[in-house]
Amino acid sequence: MSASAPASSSSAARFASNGSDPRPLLFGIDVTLSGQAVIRRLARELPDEAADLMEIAASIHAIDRLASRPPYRWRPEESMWTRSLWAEIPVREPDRWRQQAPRLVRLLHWLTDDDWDLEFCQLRLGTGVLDVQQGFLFETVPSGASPVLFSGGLDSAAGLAAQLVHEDAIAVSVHTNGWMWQVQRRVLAALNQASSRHCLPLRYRISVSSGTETSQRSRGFLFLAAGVATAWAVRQDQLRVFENGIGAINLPYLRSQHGSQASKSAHPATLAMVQELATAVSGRSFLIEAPAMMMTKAELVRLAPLATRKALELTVSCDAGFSARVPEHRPCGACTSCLLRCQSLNAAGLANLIPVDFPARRKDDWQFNVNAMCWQVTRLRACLESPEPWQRLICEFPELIDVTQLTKEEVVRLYRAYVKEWDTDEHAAWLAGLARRESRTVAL
Amino acid sequence: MPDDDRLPRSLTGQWRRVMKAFQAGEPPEDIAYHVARATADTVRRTHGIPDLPALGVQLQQAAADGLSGYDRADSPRALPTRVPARLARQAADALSAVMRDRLALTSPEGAALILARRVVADVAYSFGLDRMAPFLVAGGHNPAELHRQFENLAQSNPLGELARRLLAHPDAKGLRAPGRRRPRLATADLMDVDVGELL
Repeated sequence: MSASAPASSSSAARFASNGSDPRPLLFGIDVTLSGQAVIRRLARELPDEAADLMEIAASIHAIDRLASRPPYRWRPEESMWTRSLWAEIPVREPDRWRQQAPRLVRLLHWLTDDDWDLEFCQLRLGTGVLDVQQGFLFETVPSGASPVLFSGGLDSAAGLAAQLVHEDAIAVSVHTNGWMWQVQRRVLAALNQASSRHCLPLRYRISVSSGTETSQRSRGFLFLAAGVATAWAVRQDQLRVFENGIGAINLPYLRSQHGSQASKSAHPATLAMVQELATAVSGRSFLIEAPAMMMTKAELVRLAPLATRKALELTVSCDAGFSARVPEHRPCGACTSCLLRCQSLNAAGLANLIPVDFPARRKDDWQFNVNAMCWQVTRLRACLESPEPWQRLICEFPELIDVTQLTKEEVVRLYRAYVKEWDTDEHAAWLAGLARRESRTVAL
Repeated sequence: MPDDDRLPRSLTGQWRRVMKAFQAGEPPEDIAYHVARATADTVRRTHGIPDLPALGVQLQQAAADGLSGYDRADSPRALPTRVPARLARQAADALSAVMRDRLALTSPEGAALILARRVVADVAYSFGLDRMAPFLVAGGHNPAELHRQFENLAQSNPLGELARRLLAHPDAKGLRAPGRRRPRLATADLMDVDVGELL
């Protein structure tokens, strides 16, 4: 779709969904993006390609929040939740981004299941939301520290804790509300307190006003874009992402899930596509490292030194855990993220880090999700017990075909380790304990 | 990372009937009949997979040429957003990855039938069996035993016959599951059977 001829220069993006009339997307009104905390630390402006990448990612994230997906009950049974989205985004270097539009569209389709049509126009000089008017003091970024993506979740904290044993780090984070930043700040403070090395936080703030769509499948691109842009800003061409392989590949729990209904934010293919995009945009080879891709979550958590356990306890995994609207910010205890966190802490021998009053407010969801996870483990076990585990895995989980970054042997080893974690007596006892507590909750 | 994953769990009336059959412990052949009916209903309502025969022929042709129908260099491949078509493409990719040699030795029609059987089973899993699995496990079904039952259903004759019918009419217009076959009784045995049982 081409809504109309692009303007010669502009300061506002425009977008349309499912053939609607284009509407403006205004920074400061529809979406807020602040990189002041990063720019102040760096004491210089972001390079043009970095500022463009962040503003594109923020615009796409905002459109993803503002354009509703068709409600489940209204769409034909055979249809996925696909939207048709058009956007025109002003950037400092439109020719550079026009060349990369097909690459970006492919990445976004993979992440969101949506059909994106992206156009780029010239940003009016000095009107970019990441352009800076004030002067600078001095740079406070330690030399040699490598950028690491940090979400405030268990994986990134455990990975960062392990890295801080050997080297300094720059923790790049994006927060969408004050509570999320509080969590990230506390975890980083606890990590710094427990480590001999230093971790410098560099954070971006983004918020979308009146965004109604909750799926937010472009969020992975936003976080990775922040990491890449910051790496460029500190004159590095690499980024480290700590995410366990089970969570990153995120095989569907049920075969009723299609496409990004099982999110792909840190999928190996996502990381590879962002790496390719970063390389193509900058013209320099960019590397995204994922050192925990061949580990289960429990194996990753075990890497964190004992002294950093307090920091791990402060992390948040819940899907709704960062929502500012949840009373007391308590984890729901029912979503698959909460359940995977519990499973991994239990398997890592850190069950004491699971809160005693871990709630399960949504009994139906808890029961369904935990049984869906058990069902997936049953299917995995059946594949792994066969004489040709790889072939069986591919037939049972065709999504594994897209995991080309790991060898067959690595994939089989990863899932063997995961299934083994579920097969221990301690794990069975944990599940039984949860079920007992759940029935008590219901009885009350 | 799992992040607000969506797990569709709603079941149509036909699939609820299948779940009741499991819960009531009905015989496997009766459950297979209900599953074939529900699958036929789903394929019909979702307008079939019109390019299924062509996809099967392509699959065989690629295998015969010594190629994999799925090129890992293209990964991740953009898949259709219509669920049945998506299932067919995923099934073709999986078959191409694991049984290329066998596909190379079969006829194009044979390859299309292998693919159709696989796709019909995937539709059953996607719209019914996998959605009800967590409920059945919660109700006390042993997951490993249930998994074996599902696998047997996927290989059952009614679904196989349904696959043949779908291949003949891939747009699924008027697609019906095969009727329930009851064992033929000898006349002498028939004398002792209550009329009600025969209905």
